[in-house]
Amino acid sequence: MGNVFEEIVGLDKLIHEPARLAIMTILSTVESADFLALQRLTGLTSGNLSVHLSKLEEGKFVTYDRKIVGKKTKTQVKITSEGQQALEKHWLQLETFREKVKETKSD
Amino acid sequence: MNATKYLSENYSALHGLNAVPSGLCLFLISLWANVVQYPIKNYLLPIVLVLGFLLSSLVINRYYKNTYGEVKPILARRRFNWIAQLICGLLGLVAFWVDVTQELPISFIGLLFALTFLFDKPMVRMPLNKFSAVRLVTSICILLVSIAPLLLGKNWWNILGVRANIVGVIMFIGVLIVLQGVIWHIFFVKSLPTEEVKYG
Repeated sequence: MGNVFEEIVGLDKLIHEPARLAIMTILSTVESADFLALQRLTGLTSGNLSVHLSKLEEGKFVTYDRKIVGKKTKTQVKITSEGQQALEKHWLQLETFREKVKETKSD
Repeated sequence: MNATKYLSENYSALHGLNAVPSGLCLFLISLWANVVQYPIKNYLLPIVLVLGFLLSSLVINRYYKNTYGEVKPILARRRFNWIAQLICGLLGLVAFWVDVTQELPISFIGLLFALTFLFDKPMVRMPLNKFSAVRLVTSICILLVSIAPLLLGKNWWNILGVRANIVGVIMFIGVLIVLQGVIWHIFFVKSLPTEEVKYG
């Protein structure tokens, strides 16, 4: 079981945070989403969503494409290839952890 | 998480009100075709209906963009939509021609719509969710109406005051498209988080 706890600690905290995991999961299923759609899908406030997106952008997991349309700024968010890989690795780690726990229980 | 993935993958498709103008247009044009005197001399009403459909589609589209934002599906999905629309458009023309000229006891336009409801994204798959359950029921209803002349006789629509099978089928499809659209919109709105979700 010792290895399993190391694995939990080893999970990428940038993605593992639930709100960011939700954002990354949404972005992995689409080409891009605008800020409002992400807000609607996650239920986060705009302030919270901005904070999480900034962290993901710092980690190079998402990119922004900002355009000014009329008087409004339209922000399209996309997952990067690094972000996609990190997300898949994250789910794989969780799945592996789950299998190991099952094995331990059956032992 | 699965529910969120389903919503994000099918975000625009679940904007049910987008279907209401087309459903209403189909219903009203069929109604006009049922009551108009032949030979038709004045096409003003169908032209107005089509313009109304285009305008209301724009308004509803803008409503969704401003209220729910915009998601761009992946390229494979967009390609599927273009190809599916092209194929359905061509098949629709053929089906319409067959229905109008051949007087067969089944409606090919109806069958095409029934199949489209089953296979258009989001596809009806097991296990059903609330969206796909409504789609499945709609598809079955359209299928039954399309083959009803086989069971109830070729002129069964006459009892309801409808001139021709194709007119009745398209009116029925129009009503179902409107109903499904409204129901999907309600489901879509209720599926989204309404307040800040506690992410732990």
